[in-house]
Amino acid sequence: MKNYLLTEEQIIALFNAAAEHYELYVPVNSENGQVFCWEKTARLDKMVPSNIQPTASIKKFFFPNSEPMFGFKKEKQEIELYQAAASVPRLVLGVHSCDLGSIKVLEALFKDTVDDELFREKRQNTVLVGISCSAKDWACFCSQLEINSRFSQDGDLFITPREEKYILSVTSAKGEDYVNKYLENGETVAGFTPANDLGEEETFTLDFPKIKEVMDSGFELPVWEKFARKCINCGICTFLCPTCHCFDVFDEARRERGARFRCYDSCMFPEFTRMAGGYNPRSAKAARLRQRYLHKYKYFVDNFNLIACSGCGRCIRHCPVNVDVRQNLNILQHSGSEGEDD
Amino acid sequence: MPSPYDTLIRTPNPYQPRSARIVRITPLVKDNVLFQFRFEDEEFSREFSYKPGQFVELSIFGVGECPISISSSPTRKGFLELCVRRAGRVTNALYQLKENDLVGIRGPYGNGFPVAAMENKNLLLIAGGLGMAPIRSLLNYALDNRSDFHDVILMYGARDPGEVLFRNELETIRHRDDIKCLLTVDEASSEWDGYTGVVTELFKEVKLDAAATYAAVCGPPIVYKFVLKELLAQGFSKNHILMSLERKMKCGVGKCGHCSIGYKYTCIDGPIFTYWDAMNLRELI
Repeated sequence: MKNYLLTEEQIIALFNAAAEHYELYVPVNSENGQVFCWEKTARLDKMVPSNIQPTASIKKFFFPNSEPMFGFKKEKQEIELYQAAASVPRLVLGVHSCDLGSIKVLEALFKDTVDDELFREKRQNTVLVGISCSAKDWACFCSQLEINSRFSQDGDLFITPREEKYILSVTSAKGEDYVNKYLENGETVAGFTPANDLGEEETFTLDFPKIKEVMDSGFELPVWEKFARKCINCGICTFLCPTCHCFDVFDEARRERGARFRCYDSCMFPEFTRMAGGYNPRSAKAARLRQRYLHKYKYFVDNFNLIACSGCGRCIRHCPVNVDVRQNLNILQHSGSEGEDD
Repeated sequence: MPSPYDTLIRTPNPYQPRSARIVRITPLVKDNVLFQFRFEDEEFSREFSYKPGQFVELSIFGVGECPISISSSPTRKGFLELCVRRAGRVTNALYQLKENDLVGIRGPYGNGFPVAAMENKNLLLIAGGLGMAPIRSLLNYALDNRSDFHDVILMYGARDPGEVLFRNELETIRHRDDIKCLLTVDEASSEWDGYTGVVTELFKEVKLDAAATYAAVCGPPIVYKFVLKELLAQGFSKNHILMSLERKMKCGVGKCGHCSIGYKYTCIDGPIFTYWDAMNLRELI
């Protein structure tokens, strides 16, 4: 891994240098301090903030809320299909380790069995620049998933402050290409030791292998019913989650022209599994909540050896009824054999 | 957002269907129609192959897409048959179409029946109601490769004689001596000359060597409940009991999450599951 020691001016210049070829996205502070998403900017005029985790996760750059899968034109004797336009190359700045860590989950899924070009093309076209996180909040739990909030190699480039300057780490071939092309007079440093995780105030430790073990035989545990009592199935957790990837497919057409779109769907909705004939294998709320938890912490591990969670805390921070996945997982990890809960 | 109409196809993505033409519409029973399709691309049409038990995603452009199991056998090339019940948005739109109209089809998807493993074994095919649709593919496959299999038995149950799918075909098959074709209805009419009663009653009519037989079952949930019990009682091993299941599906390629059951996806790991799978995957049946 190559590391450069750069001044703030050099960092700014490095990302402005490509502004002609890339769309530039930064998390910016709005007046009320909330940042819904990275915003497109023409030029970078100050250092990328290190304390902002936008409400929307990084997934929307590769897997947007809604996107055309293809267009169509229906003639009487012919149907023509149109490919969705190619994505614009993008440079996304100020991405935290939790979001960077979530991308491999989506990559594994979208690559498996059939390669999803819609996802891959956008991922290939995007340079992700991570930044060492300087502000965890009450909902963050990336430490529990062994994600280092202050350093990550899951993106393409990574910025760590050092005294008055910054270390720019090159963490992928794409990042290297970018630096080779746009960095002028960069001074490399040897022996860079990444900073340790910021740490969190933990009241309990989540043991994910143990949680998986409980889940392996925990389909009928009474806690599912208990967890579901609070949940209102609004789906916010799934929309904001950087690893949730379920989608719906629908057509929009006016006369002979139209397009097929996909948009976020949620396993929290009863319609998610209801078939045309009326039968619904997951009609109960508790069954749907169980599906979401099992999918993240068990099924995804079974299939890809990855936990589909990066501890970003969005599902906790934005839940309207204060469901806290950490507390639920803690209850689960202690409800293995004897059913100690209740 | 760039308009999807602007650029012509550069590389087809896996979600793009191929144009197919409806070549024949055969009403079977009320709200169940057999549609025969042919792909517009002749070369693709000739080479298109699949396994019994697989399914396709059927598109009506502007309305949507839905998964339908294949009813024809891959031994009969050049066309594809889907037995479609009118149930939702897409199937209702399909029912408005006429012969020579165009639809989109992508696939085949799913695992299909393990036909290679089933060779040199007896086949016991059990269908209830619309479950006959995928079973017909396997039935015709077995008849067209008759020497690859030992005894072939079909047990098919429907509500009443007016609900029996593929009745004409099955009448012909009933008179063949290389297959035992047992039809039953819950409520018989005066013209009915098959059996009366639920499909499990038919087990009395056959002698089975469970160890040398594969059972393929498809039907509504109630059929599984009783048929599986009977098959286990007959001594079938759990991985010789094959079931064709249905789930809501969107993408068909293991991404969209709708058909997930446990760590499996019905669209790529199914829709054919063994009883052994069912024991290990909660919510499966």
